[in-house]
Amino acid sequence: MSNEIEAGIVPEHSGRFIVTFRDGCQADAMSLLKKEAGLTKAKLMSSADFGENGVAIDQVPVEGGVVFEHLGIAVVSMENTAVGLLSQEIGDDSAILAIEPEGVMYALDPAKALSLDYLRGFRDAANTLYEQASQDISPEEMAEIAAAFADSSTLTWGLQATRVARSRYSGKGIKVAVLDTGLDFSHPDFVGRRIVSRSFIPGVTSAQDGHGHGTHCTGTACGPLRPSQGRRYGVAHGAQIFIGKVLSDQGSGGDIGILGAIDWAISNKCQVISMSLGADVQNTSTAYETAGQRALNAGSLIVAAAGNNARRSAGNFGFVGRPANSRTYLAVGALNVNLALGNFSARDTVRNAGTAVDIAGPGVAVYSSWPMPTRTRTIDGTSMATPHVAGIAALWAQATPDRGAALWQRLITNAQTLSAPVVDVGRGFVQAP
Amino acid sequence: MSKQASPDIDVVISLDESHFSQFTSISKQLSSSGLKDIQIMKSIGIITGKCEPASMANMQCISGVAAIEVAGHVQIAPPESDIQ
Repeated sequence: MSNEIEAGIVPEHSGRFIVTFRDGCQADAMSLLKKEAGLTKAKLMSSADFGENGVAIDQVPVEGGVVFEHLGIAVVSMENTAVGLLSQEIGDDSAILAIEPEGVMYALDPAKALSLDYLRGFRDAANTLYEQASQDISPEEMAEIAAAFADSSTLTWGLQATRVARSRYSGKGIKVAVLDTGLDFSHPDFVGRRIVSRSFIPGVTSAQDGHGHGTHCTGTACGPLRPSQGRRYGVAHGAQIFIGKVLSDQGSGGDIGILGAIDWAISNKCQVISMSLGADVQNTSTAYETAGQRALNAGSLIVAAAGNNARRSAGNFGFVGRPANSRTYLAVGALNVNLALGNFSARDTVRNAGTAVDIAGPGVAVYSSWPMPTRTRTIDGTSMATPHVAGIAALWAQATPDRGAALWQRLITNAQTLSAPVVDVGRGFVQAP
Repeated sequence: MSKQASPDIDVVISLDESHFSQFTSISKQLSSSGLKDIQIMKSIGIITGKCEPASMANMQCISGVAAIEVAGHVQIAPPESDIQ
């Protein structure tokens, strides 16, 4: 009877593992399981075999496992050597996303004593995975482990810390609108790029940037993979860029132009709209709230700067300004290289629901493009954190079918938790897929 | 041409979701109530324009108008600022 599993009890002679497939890659993942672990189809049951009642664990073959068709997950018995072999297959392009020991929660349950053999197997499997991971560790990854970041010769600190540098996604097929002071169209880092632009400033026909702010923000959100000089600073280098000039060369703009640009971006089906702008006004606006909700409904996520009105060192935490204080805008706070708050980064006032800071991004010592001949510049601001989040939203939009509110959810559920208060950083530090 | 009236201000009018199909008739009513330089933003359900402050109250009463607000404006830091 040693071949039978009692419901809910992990077999002690070998561990069971949870194997997670990449979306749409189940067939390839099954081939890998067969090749590396000898798990043929005959040894695996499908959750579909059990019908509406769900999987009966006591009917699952001991030497095999079960595939949960709707989850894209298999729970299988494997020898440690097979786990080791399969773990080598896990990577950016692999059909298998992760292999984890089943029933980790049991180890925390004092009511169930685990055998020494099981724990030993568990430890060996974990060690195999750890050794595999640590062999491939890059200098960038070592820097992440240290949790303090610095610009390298090839990458800004922000791209390293948000894992953009290691992402396989580029934002290809995604449209990102940057509503700002425009873009320096003569900048060598954007020459040859497909860019749609429009000015919303009365009397100004071109979206050429005569300020610098818009060129810096566009650089962070969508700058090139390999700039002609210096380190990489752009996130979604494959995204199509929409430039809406809503701020004059003197840095000012009216609500009508900004709302008009949001309308333009939505009608152009931009999945992400980056707005590094705002007014130090506490009250919310019905118009912005309405526009934000309709953007989400139409599949466009608006990312907005929380504001720079704090002076934390002087005990002043500021407040989230308009329009980031609307519920329907993903409000972004700014972090420094130690993942601590920028001195200027505004705090949620907690006076009204929805005025929150939702997420945080790199916003201190941010290197990006600046109008020629200056070429690049390093500055601070929640304006600099915002396009990091917008660019990363474009990567998630490429990686998943999520749009609008679902894309918002994707961003915050994948954020790295920080010890900083929620009122300052929301759900945490934005991370790329 | 009403020289004695207050200068026109920029306004933003949010339409009620249930009246999205009536953009044309609502903008005509707004125009009759004194709204000029009308811009219709269909994707976000908003109409903008200029009017005398006194006419805002009448526009608020038009069926389908959810809110009428005076347009604000934003100002970012000058280019030489280290914090943007």
